[in-house]
Amino acid sequence: MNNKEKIEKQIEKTLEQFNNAEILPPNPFFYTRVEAKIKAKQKSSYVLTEVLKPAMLIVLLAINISTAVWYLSASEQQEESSQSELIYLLSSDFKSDNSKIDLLNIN
Amino acid sequence: MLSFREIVEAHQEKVRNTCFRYVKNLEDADDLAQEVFVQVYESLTHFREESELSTWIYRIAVNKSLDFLRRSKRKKRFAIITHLFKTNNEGDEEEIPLPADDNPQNDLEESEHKKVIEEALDKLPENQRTAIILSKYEGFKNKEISEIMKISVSAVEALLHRAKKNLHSLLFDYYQKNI
Repeated sequence: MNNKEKIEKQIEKTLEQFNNAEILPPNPFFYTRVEAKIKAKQKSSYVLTEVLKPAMLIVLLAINISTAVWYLSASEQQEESSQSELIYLLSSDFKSDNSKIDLLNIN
Repeated sequence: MLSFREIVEAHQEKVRNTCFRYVKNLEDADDLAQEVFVQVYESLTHFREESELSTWIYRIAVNKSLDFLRRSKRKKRFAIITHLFKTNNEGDEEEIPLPADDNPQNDLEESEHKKVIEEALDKLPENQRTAIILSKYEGFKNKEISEIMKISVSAVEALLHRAKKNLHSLLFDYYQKNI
């Protein structure tokens, strides 16, 4: 038998292993374990949907409300200050105008 | 319509074995097979026909096994990198495989052949490996494989042909060096 024939015979024997492949022994606890995994997954998804999501929603709402309150109070303050500024400017203009009138009168 | 328990009982053996062909470890194969059925449970309402369901179950099994292999390859690469930077080599001895129960010449030869075929299978491209595992180990027909892999029957035939050819040349190279 030459080398090539020997190799071919070994290859044939090796490929025969497809027919003698090891088959796993049945696992009697398989279904129970699948059930346990499903329950664990449902529990974790319950925590996510029933606890974490509402909590996140509340946090977001709180942020939104506080931002809105802060914005409104800031704009009110700005309005007040701009009004008082306007009054001050007008009054100072009025005063300067009065002094001009006085000067004119003297002359 | 079958109950979930009946579906698990009908398909668990083939699913576990299919996963095992890829991962070659009983615990990992069991874990993967369980994950397959968890996914089946979550989408069970979408399936009305049993044939459609079984094809889908094996498709999940193949995809999960391939994902597992990709993940472990990534881990191996990372381990190699960390090993390169590691100065302390304690506990790095390679595990010596246990001998077979009875150890006559035939058993030794058979286990050697098994090892060789598994190594050769690992070197095949993913789709060729899947086609050959489903066909040769699990005994699926070409039509079933085409449904699982979502390709045509002629594509499955071509894949199997190429896989056999590649396996032959891989084995030829191996025995040429080792005989």
